[in-house]
Amino acid sequence: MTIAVPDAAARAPTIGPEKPPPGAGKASSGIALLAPSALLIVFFFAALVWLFQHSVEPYAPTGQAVEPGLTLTHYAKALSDALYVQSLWVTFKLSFIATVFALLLGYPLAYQMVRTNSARVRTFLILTIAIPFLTNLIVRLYALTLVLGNTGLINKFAIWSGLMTENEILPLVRNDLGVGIGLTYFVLPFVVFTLATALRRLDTTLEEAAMSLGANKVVTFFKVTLPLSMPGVIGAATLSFILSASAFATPLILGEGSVAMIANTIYDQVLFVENIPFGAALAVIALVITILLLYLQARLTRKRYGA
Amino acid sequence: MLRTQSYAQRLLAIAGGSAATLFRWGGILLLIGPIFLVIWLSFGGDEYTSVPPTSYALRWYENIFAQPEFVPAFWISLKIAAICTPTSLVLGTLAAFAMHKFPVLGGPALQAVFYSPIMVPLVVTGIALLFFFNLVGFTANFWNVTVGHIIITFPYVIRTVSVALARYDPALDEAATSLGARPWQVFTRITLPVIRPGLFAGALFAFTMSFDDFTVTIFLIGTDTHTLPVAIYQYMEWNVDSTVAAVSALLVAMSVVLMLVIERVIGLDRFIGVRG
Repeated sequence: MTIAVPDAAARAPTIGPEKPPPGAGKASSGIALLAPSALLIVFFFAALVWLFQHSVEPYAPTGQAVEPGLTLTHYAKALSDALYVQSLWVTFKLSFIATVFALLLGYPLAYQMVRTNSARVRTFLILTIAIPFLTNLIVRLYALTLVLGNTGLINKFAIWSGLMTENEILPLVRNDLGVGIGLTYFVLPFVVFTLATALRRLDTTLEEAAMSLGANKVVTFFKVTLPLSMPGVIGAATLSFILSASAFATPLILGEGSVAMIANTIYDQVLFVENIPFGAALAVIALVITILLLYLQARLTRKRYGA
Repeated sequence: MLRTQSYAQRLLAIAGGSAATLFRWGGILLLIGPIFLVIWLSFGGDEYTSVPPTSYALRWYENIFAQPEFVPAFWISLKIAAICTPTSLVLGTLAAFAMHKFPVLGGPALQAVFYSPIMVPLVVTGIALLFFFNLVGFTANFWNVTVGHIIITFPYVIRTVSVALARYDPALDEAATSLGARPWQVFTRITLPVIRPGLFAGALFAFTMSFDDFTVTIFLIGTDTHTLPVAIYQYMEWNVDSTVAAVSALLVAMSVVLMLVIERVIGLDRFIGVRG
């Protein structure tokens, strides 16, 4: 990588006029560099503003003119109608469960990946994260239905081993359980990524100190390692919760229409029910919840850990 | 003190260690088990996907090409990713460079604005873009999907390039400048080669996110622009044979190739963040 330096230096004229040091450039040229992406961001924000505008306009069936005026009825409906409150509740519940399980499964994985002395073990663990991470989510979810489905691996195994009779079914899809497993599966690589980065930065001398003072591995872990890695855990938990709460494909494929999380409800309202203002209001609610969670994470991390 | 550990303490240590091992293997199994299963079942010869297969054949691989949707959808996905990746890479790199060079532009507020497409749930992005494209009269579905993909991927490039730039030694710039290099020469001959791992990681993020996106795409597609994830989803909605398993196995093979490329160029451990 550094080969480029003498090369460039050799080609550059040896005597040049005095230049201002780098970093002292005019902000105007910085704005020029930023302009193309700023344009996209403006486009994106305009779309979000337009979404908000839709969410406060009165509902009109397709083909009929929208009455002028603003209304909050869609928000009131989203937060009072049992159907939609249920959808929000299921979203919260399953995202929470998936986050807890992803942390439980992901922490030991990330820990060993960072701490192992064996290059082989590390490579193996890296592969187990990298393959799912680089593989299409729809493909991964399809693969999971082959494990959990009514004629899938687990059901077939239960019958083969005699735990169940031929006509019994262990329902692991089309219900909350299946979607919960699916969400855990979906967020696990992201959780391991985030935790591994946090654990790698952690100073191991404190652990050594605790061990040399007689603390065993478990005590050292709970009193030293875990508290020190808390910012990483909070980061991973927030990411996991946000990804789960906005999951669309996972409930679609593992819930097969029986479990509607908020993203699925939004999709149905917009493309099937064609109640655009209501779909827009649900989307704004999802967005506000996401922003609140991110704000909470930032505050929690800054307050407790001064990061 | 180590020898004075009580029996209960030692028991606790063993229990904790076993729990960690159990969870770890649970995680490993959950992550790669289904992928191995799908590869195995893709070679099944049964009319309907059966666990375990009662016979083996390559018929479902042949069926991928006999079906009208998969091959065109693959090309559409590849085309979109091929436009999206370089565009996001250039936009993101320029933005990261501007934020790095001009601290006024790299403040937390502006950063939050530029990273916002990462934070906004994809379903919200999808519906907002759908409405906005309708408003401004953009009806070309292919380009709508492409623009949508660029919006959701270029912030990742800003992030990976910013990480690379943060480690960049400004003395390199000073050395080159004092030797007479113009700012543009400093950028192309020194900065770019040094931050190459960040560029590569950003491009990779952009490519895989675009190629795999389902949520934003499904709002923006028309009947004529089915991308591969959408085609796969629609096929599995109506069919219970193993064609999707065969497509899956091919896509897993593609990720393995991608992984080998990453390993060669920047190293998988660095890409994942296990090594700095």
